Amino acid sequence: MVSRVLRDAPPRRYVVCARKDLAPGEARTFRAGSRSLAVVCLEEGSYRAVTGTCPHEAASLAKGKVEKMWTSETAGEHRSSERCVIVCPWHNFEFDLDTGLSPCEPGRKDMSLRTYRAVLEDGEVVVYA
Amino acid sequence: MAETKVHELSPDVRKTPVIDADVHEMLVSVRDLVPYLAEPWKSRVAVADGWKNRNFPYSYPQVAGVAMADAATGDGRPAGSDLKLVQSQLLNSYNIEYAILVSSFHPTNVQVQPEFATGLARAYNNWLIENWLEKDGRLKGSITIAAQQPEAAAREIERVGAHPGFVQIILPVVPDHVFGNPFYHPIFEAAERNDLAIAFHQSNATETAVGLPPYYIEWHTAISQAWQCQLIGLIAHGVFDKFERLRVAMLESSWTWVPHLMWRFDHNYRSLRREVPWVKRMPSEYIRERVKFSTQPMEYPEDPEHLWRMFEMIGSEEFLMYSSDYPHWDFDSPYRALPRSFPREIRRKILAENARSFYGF
Repeated sequence: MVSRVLRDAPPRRYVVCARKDLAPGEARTFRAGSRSLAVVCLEEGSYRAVTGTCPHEAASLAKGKVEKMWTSETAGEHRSSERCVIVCPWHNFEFDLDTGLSPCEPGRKDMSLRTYRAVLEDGEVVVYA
Repeated sequence: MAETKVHELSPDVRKTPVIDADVHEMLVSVRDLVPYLAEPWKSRVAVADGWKNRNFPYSYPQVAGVAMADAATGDGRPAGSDLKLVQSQLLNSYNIEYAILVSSFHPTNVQVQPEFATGLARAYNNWLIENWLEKDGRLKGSITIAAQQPEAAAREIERVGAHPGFVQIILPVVPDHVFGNPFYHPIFEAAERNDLAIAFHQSNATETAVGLPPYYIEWHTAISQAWQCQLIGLIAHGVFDKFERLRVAMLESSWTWVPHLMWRFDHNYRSLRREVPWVKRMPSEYIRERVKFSTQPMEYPEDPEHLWRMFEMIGSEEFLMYSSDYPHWDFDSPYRALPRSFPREIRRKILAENARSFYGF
């Protein structure tokens, strides 16, 4: 019951850091209450925030790598897509930063990250969680 | 220690038609192909001391050679070379509705003169049609090709693929490369275009992960590694993504390794999808949906329930097809091979229905 109340509560506003402290392509861990989040600045300058630990073995995702998701329609060819993923520092599992889903198993809830709204407000990176 | 039990099926199940997914027709000798060969290849086989196929490298204790003793012809011809004996011993004795003939003659293993290998494949298919497929409608065949010439192999598939006797193309599990490589894709394209399956089977050239270990028992225990490599290769090279209707049969590979491979491959895909982004789905999904396995050689854990659990772990009731491996020494009877730990309905599916669905009978 308590967790349901928390889930349904309106998200709280958290200031993560100043804009200059999270450069494009970087990720950092941020604590929002009891939750650990990974906050990411994409190359084009927008922000994403997701669950901070990997659902596999709880590695800190902010220590991983942010990249444009590799895709292909032909064996032997690699194309960099518009989708952005965070790649876990252990085992290299990928998670879509827009949906939190695994590109490999988008139907698996237990292999996904929760996503949060992350924006720039008055020169500060802000997460609503 | 629990006793390993195999049981006869009940009489009503025994009446159930059987589809046998792995039966070997044999040439008496490669000279049988002479009437079917065109020149310049014909003379090279017909001449005294002409070309001979490579031999199996192992010797091992046998009762009647590679054949089960009662399948021996008694006159020096190899077991499996006499249609009437195959009919009486297998087709009539076990209520076989269809038997899938899987050639042991693999021009793909001929390492020299690729055009000669292609000529041999063409001759073999003509021999098979005339002497087996058109003699008994219960016999269905596998198209023999020389995969080292993929475009010529595709033409051969087009040439004979419309014959109603053919249901698949046979490839040997070779030791030194994977058929998933795009070099071989014309073969899969022709298979899909002709609505034929691709089947993999061991051959005289099949090796283990350490090549040819000294003893036959080592080789015979370890060769499932060769099918595993080919199956992994098909998926990793995107064959199932490129050919969305392609069906594959792994024959005589055993099957209890499949859960392990699915788990390991899926886990690696989560980690390494970026290396092969043309692979769009979890490897286990392709295996469940597109790949069948044959029963023989069955494995017999001390507790038959464990075998059933292995089956359940694969997550498909349709993946397994009964096979006898007639006339070889490790023949499995359709009425003895499956333990009663397998539910009756599943045994019925394995004995005939899974193959019926896969081959479209």
